[in-house]
Amino acid sequence: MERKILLQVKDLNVQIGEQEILSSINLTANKGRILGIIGESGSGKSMLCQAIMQSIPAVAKSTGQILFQNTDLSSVTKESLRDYRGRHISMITQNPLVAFDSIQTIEMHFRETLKAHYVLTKKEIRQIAISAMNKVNLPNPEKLLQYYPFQLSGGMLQRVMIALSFAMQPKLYIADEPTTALDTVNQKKILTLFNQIRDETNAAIILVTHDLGVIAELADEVAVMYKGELIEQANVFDFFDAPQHWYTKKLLQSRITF
Amino acid sequence: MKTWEVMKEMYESTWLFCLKRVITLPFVLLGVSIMTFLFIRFVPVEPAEVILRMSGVAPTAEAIQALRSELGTDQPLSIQYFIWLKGVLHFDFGSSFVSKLPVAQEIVEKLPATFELALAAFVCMICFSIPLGIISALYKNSIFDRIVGLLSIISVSIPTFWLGFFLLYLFSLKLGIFPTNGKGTILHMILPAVSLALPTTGLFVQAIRTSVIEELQKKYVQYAFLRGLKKSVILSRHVFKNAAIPLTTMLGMTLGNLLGGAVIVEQVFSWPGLGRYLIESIMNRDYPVVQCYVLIIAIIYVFANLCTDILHRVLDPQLMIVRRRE
Amino acid sequence: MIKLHKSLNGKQLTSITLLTFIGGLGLFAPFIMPNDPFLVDVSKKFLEPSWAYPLGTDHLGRCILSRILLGIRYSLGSALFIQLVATFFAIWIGAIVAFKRGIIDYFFIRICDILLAFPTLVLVFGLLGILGPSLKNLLLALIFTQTVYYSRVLRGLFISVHAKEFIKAAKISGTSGVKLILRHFVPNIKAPMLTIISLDLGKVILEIAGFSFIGLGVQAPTPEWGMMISEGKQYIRLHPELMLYPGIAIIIVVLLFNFISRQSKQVDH
Repeated sequence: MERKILLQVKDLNVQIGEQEILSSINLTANKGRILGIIGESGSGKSMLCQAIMQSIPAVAKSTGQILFQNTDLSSVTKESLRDYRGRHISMITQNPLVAFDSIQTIEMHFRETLKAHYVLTKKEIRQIAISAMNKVNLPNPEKLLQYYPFQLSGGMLQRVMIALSFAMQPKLYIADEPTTALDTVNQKKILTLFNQIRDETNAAIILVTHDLGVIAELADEVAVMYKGELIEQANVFDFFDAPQHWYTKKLLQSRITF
Repeated sequence: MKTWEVMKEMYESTWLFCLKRVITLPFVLLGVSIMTFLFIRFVPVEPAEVILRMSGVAPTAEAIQALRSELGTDQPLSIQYFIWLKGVLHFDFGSSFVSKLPVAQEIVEKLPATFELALAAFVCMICFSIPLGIISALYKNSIFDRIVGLLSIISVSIPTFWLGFFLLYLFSLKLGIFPTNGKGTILHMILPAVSLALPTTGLFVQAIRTSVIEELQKKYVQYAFLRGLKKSVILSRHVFKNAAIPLTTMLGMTLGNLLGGAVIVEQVFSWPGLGRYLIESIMNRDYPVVQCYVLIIAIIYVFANLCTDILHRVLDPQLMIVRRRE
Repeated sequence: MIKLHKSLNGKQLTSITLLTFIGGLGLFAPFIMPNDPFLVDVSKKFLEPSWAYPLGTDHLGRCILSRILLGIRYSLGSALFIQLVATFFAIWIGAIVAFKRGIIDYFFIRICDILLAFPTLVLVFGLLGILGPSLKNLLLALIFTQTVYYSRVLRGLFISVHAKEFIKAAKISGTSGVKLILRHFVPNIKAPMLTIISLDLGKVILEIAGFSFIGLGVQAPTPEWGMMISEGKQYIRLHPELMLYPGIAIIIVVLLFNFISRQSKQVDH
């Protein structure tokens, strides 16, 4: 399969004060491929996502390059970054209930996101929203649009979030632990969705998780994070069959096998 | 195309809430009226005696008894209450012991001026506290924030009447910008309104600052940022609206405090409101006046709180919609 | 007796120290004041500050500094008195209502709601209207309003602590009665109560001054700060200092109290 590099992270270092949160991260995300990033809590996975989106906390300092389609995001102006965020690169966070604003309806969320990047009428926005929600298999999208976030369950909200990202047709999805807060049934639904998105839109997907099962199901490539360092990178088969690093081996051993 | 049912449910539950509150209102007012009535009847001094003394008549036993039956104060308490209540509902609050004029008339004449002052202070406070509070929150720990914080805490420590004189001395006597007393133009209103508003402004600035800072920490702000929304949009549509919700409940209470405080500030600027009248009535033990004042202010206060509670409900969908999750 | 918050910071300590110092000044005022605060000598009116009269004299020739020093008792002393008495009553009322629950609780809440339906200042006006204006009645009125508010709060605190797991655990393991109260309830009540009480001290001082200013509290010639401001108001054009000094005294004391309570609010968050 032809590999097209969409995102390249080169020598990314993130520091807060004296502490190094991320050290010398180098990775690539390719079109139509799912890169799974696995690591335990504190390994720096979330900070990596934030660094790619150029939204690390103000106290943190970063060095290195984040090349998105050969443009270094770390040296782009703030205004132009707005173009990338949400439009070309879309992030899906964990725990969707707190990510939505509970005093705005779902439709409002769609409307403001689409309006931030495109010029569209209310009607057009509704249509886009409804078709996106249909794509992610949400029942009765017209009704859902009128609801407030707290009226929906976690599983449905996560799908709404994916629909919201999908409606923007981004080239890169970054999903930060999208299944952690969900039960197994909903987890399965979400994973199927990502598969679908990858196959149909040829987008690159970075999936951050601590769950090996998710990696096994979805990932084409795997990167292992440990204490802020990327200690192993391989395609998914090599990852499971021939782990190199001691930590990766330990990780695989701790898996419950049947 | 819009889903009827969801909108209908939202309106119904707000409607229901308002209805419930409006229904309980008379009971609250009833309680207030009973309380006010009992207040007065707890007087350690016999009202008839006081009246006689004031009219210069010797308070002999017969005179007291005669006046008592005239006033109706020799009836059992519950009957007195109903007579009083009946009068109140006809807007007859009895007559002043001092002036012999109907109390309601005098108070209704003077109330608007006090209310105007309280309202002016209220508006003043809102206009100043919102920008100061928001900017303090957005530039947390900056020099601006620290200065505003210090000024806030000082403003809460200043007695309103002293501030009134201070401003009067500075701007009126020395600089001659504002008139020293009375009511008439906007200029007359500025100094009293500012004096009355200042302490509450300090309080509100800090409350707004705290609320906005809290909202800024929330995850939806980050998610909005990640979706590429403009900072100004995130602030106006999400942060400020969310921050305002818990503050609405403070509004009603503030208006009540301003109404009470207005009485004191009026003395400084000879503002023709209830102040002088009330104070003199208290000194003269003119109970009907005090009773009427307490009742009227309480009613205004109850209504103000009702309005702010409804406002709070309406602004926060989580309170409006009492629905199970899907 | 009153245990201090472990996490008191510099500002709070300075404020407490200053306040204790001021309190001491008030307590020992009769011994340290330079002149008799009640001595009227019209020939000495409106004197400039001097060694004999550090802040000058007022319109009746009385030493302003002496009056301010004595005034500490009326402002600071009264406020502390009010808060202590109100808290004392509120603890009993709140506890009884919280533990008996049932009908007593129901009526208590209703009555509190009605009483709190009046703005506090208006309640005080009403009470003064009945009882008559005097310092004693002002204190009674303020104690009353504060007690109502605090017993409501304490009731809530008692109930919430009561519902906590460790109380049930303690009860099961046999602790009961006074021991239960002292060892389990008190520590959990202490912190929020101290915050509220200290928060209101400044407010109460302002209220005492305010009512005395309009003549419904302290009566002349008592040297209460609000009263002093009221007496000085007719001389504002030529001798504004008569109002300036007592005003600054009020501001300093209330500010110090606010520093203490504000800091502890920030600590709690």
